[in-house]
Amino acid sequence: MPIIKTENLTKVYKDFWGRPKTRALSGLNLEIHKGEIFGLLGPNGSGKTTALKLMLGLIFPTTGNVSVMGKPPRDINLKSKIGFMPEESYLYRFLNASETLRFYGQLLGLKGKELNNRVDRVLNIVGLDRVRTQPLREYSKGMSRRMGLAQVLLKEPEICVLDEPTIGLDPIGAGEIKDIIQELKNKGTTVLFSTHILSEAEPLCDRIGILYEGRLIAMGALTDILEVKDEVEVVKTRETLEEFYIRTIKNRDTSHFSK
Amino acid sequence: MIQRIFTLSLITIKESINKKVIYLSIFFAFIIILVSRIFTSITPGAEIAFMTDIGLVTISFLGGVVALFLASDFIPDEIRKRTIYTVLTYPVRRFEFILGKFLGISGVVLLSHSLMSLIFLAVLSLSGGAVKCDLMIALALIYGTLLIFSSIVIMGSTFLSPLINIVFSLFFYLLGHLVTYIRHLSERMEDVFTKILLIFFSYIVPDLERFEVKDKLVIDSALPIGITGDCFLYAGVYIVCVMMLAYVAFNEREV
Repeated sequence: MPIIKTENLTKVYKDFWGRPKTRALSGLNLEIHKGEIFGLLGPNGSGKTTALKLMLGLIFPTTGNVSVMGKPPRDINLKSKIGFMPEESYLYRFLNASETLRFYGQLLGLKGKELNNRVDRVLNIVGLDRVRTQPLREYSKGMSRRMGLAQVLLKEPEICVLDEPTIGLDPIGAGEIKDIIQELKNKGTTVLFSTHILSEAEPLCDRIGILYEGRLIAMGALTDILEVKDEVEVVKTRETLEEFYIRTIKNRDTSHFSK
Repeated sequence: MIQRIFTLSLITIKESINKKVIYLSIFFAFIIILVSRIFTSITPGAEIAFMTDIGLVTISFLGGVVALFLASDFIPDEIRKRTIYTVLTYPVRRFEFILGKFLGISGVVLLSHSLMSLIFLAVLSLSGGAVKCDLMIALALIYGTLLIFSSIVIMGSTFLSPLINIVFSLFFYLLGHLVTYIRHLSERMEDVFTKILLIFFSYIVPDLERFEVKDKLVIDSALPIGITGDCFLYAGVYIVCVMMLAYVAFNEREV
């Protein structure tokens, strides 16, 4: 059974008067399996964040269904099992790292020694232990991203949903986040992340999906989709993800214009 | 559930402590109450009554300002800064979020109300006025109106922009002081539709007149027995209804 499943998921944003304004997502059918790293790729405005927000129950589908572990995404019992790192680390900037994690830990129902231990452990993992008493407003972008990841790790989640996890980070910071993602997978955590940085997705992902103008235009295991076959289905060469991505989107554009 | 609501109210209090509106209100309360002492000469023989009148009006008005400016922006601010994304992906029910915000704001309003009341009572004592039980009841009732007002503002903030919410909440607050007038007006109406509409409206808006004891205090008349219990029971029931409406509106809101 897929751990996340969407069926014909469509989201149309409406204006003040309830008239359709933007079709952000159209008929998304997606299955994400337990323990895999799934990369949701696509250019800016392709509907990646909308898809993630629908899976988290932050917004509601116009039509179609989404289920996480077989339950609707707003199910309260699910929420301690899913970690979400938004595109930017939207945290309370007047708190310091320790207070922030204690706040989220208390929302999880943790207390006492268990809470303290988990906060310490997570701050060590993300390398913010030494600046734990510094308010978040004084953090650099890289430190804020790590803090965003820390609140995800605090949950010890079964599913991690990461929206552009390395955006705005220097190569070292991005590398550290990729290592953490890989470590999560090794522990059996399912990771769904969105990105438009293809070099990031290729070494990490087991499977990818490409969203373009709200539609899923390609999906599959990286090993399968990057193989270029001839007419009798014999493997000739292997594309890079970047080549595949550009070819797929260009084909899409050509067919779109020919219509 | 209680831990989550408590945690959310605590973060609301921590965030509010940084807001200038609280300190400005307390500062202005201090100035107005102090200045009222100087102007007691315009009411010879009724200096304490004059100070009581000015003090209670000031505390009520500035408490309302604190409640209005804090409560009208808290939920929109969480949505604007998107801190709500992370909070709502934790095991937090939306009614817990609303309730946490309300309790946090009630705590901050209580804090500012207490400080303003202390200033008022101190100045009154120094001017020779007695700190009577009825005066304490009057201050408690003002807090009751502030709680009702905060709940209305929070409800508005779940579906209105801060500016429209301020107008909407002030409209309710002002009409809340005119409930008797609205009911009298409905009795005089001949048109059945308008009559029903006015009666309906008089029950929708909070009856803040029942909390109004300032005039009795000023003329040194005793307050009715059990007024505090009656008023706080009314406030409790009204706030529960308003919070339920806030939950209904917020539960369907996309963030």
